[in-house]
Amino acid sequence: MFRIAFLAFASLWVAGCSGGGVAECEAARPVASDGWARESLMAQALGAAYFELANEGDCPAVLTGASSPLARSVSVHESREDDGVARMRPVERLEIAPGESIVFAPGGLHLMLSGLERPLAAGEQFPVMLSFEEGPDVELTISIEEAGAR
Amino acid sequence: MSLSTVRMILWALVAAVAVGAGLMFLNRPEPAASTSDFQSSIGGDFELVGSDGAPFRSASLDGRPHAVFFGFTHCPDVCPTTLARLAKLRRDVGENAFDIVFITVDPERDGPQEVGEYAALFDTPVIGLTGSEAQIEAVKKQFAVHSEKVPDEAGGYSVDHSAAVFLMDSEGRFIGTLTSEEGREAALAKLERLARS
Repeated sequence: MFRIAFLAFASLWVAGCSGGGVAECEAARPVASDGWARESLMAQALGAAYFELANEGDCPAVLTGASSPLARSVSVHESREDDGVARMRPVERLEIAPGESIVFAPGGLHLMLSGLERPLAAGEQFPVMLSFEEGPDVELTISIEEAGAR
Repeated sequence: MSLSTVRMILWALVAAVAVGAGLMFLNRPEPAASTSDFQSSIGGDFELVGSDGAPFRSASLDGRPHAVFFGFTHCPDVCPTTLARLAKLRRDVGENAFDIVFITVDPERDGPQEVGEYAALFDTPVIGLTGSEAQIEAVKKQFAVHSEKVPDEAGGYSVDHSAAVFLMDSEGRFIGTLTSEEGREAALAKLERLARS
């Protein structure tokens, strides 16, 4: 009895491995748009940037980091409010499914820029490079807006 | 395994679940400051330090309704967002409708200059306040605000903190809060009520 069950199980497993399951995807294609940041506070060398990240490929895209010539480091953080307490936590990897898009917006996901070279001034722009688990970096232009704009 | 052993094990599991549930109930989170049991105990006199470095007594706020919120300047997202929202709402209610007060939960990094610059960012009058560790702890308790330093990977830290905006009438009495869940209409209604108080 066990032998039959084992053979049945093994054959199912082999069928699964031979590609009968999920089809191989070709590539992720992350596209970043509408990059913006508020003009920054002079006293601290910190800023937050927001943008929309879409995946136009057929494989999941995984954002793993970012950098900018304007900041010593850039990292993905997420703000949350649990039971009335505001928190901010780093996000090591952010997966975007094929065809989906994620919006980085105030109160949620944001790129935290630390060690800014100079305060962010409304009207200026600066580049950010987004790094992914696979594939090339994607460049995003961040437009600096007045503090009360959005 | 005999049936009576199985039965004993099952009863032991039931007991464990009951104890666990009891512990969870006892450790349930504190209700938010806006519940009516806390109403009478929010606010009160305080003394902090203004952006000019001079002592700031809460009596200076008397005669004007005010909206108070807690945050820290090394907060690139939530705090500027709260301030932007409040500033925008105030413009809709009337520029002179109420004062906006920002109190830091991070006196270690936020001195008078820092809170002053933060307050000036949105091109609308905001009172930025700091103080000694003791003064900040005292005012936090008065508003039932919790905050906690969270170290980050770069050797710095962020500060988890209660996010509600406290609405105080012109006599310094607590009349309600503004939370991030409320839509614009609900928030405007509350602030219009605040302005008239």
